[in-house]
Amino acid sequence: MANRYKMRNVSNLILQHLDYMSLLYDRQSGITHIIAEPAPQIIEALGHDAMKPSQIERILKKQYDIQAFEDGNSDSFEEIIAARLDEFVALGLAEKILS
Amino acid sequence: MTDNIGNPDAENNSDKQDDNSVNPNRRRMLMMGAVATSAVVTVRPAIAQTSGSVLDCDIPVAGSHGYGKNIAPDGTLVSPDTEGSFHQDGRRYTANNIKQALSGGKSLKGASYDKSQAYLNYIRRLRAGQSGFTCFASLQYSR
Repeated sequence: MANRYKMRNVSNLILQHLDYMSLLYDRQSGITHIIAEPAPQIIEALGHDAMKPSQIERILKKQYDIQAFEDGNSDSFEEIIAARLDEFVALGLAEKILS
Repeated sequence: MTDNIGNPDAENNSDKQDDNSVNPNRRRMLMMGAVATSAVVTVRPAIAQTSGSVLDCDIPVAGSHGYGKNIAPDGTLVSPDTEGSFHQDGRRYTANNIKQALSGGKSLKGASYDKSQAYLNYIRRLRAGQSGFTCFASLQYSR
């Protein structure tokens, strides 16, 4: 069973979309993160909830036409979403709820 | 400022796949990237430090815009027959190596002192859109 992820202190995060990337400011730490697709979309899909990467993938597929960045890239969308979430965890932005 | 975290669709956790409400973002293209392609660069105020993964980047000397050219001591790209210029073959130098060289510690790997200085001047002249610029920009913010 896949792990679930949850953003930490969502109310302390400010997400600002720019042209080609987004800025994520964490009021608590005073740290700004420059984030690229699909990271901001994952954060928005998660909101205040705890979700598995597969759930996030379903939400994103409802909202977007998803395409892989590189031809011949065999990573599944679920794997890519999990990798981005693990980045958030490493930065203290999200927590991983082991199941 | 946009405090817009928290997708209204996400109110009820999982069972929301049947929600057919109109979403202005619907059908926009989303670039998914790859597992190994990091999507986050962290800028810390005061100490202005990027996350470790950024320092794993590298910079080619020279990038594709300098193909077939030499590098002058001041870092400009010149024709290969220019006296005093240095040959370049597009070799990639790691951010760590460049950082150490910029701080005066050592030369770039495999380069003489003069050649290393010319290469560093080339790197200092990088502009947005040229290969290696993002890596160089991130070095500005790292300790």
